[in-house]
Amino acid sequence: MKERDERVTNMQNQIYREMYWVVFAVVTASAVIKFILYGVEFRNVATEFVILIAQGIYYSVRSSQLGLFSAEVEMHDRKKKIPMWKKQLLIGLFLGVGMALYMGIHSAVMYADGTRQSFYYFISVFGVALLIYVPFLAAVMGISYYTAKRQSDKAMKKELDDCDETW
Amino acid sequence: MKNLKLKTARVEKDLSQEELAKHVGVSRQTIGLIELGKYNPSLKLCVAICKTLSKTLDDLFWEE
Repeated sequence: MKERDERVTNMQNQIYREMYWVVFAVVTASAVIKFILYGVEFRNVATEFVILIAQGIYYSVRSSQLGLFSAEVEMHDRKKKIPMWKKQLLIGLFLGVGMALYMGIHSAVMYADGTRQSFYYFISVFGVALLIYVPFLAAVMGISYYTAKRQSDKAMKKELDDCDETW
Repeated sequence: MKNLKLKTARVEKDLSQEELAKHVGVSRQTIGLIELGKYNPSLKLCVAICKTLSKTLDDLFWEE
């Protein structure tokens, strides 16, 4: 077996953790700067978007596979008033409202002529976007939470099964 | 290697894995994995478990 100094390994893990936040900060700053310099266009920040989404998906998949997600939910729900499942739905809801607000304001500013039309554009686009995005994002967040939790519970059960069967 | 001593001490104290986990601030799975010998706890966690179960480190974690 390869000899490893556990203190060194722990310190390395700490550095990797910090490194993640450095990368996260650089990517976010890059997206913000591009928005400021070239305008709010998705194609300008596609790479940053992929980096941010991919690392989130990778973490979710791995933590579910290893059964870690169940433990995270348990620890979270033990300490916090709002359970994790409710928090996920709320995040979906707020993201939906945020998207609808952005689209409403964008359409009022870009395409309307005069205050009255701006208001009308804002209300109509905001309303429609709200009806589309809120249920969609809440469903995406809810379903991904449910799927991850189910897979994680299964993985953890498998690992602990030995314990239940023989003890 | 399974930690039978930990399991026995926990049962003697009439604690479930979940109750012990709450006492020492970890998840139930972590306690289960320690009892199964699938996870090596830190010294800090070992001490917390020993204090909760009123045992010494030798009682629970020393392998003969």
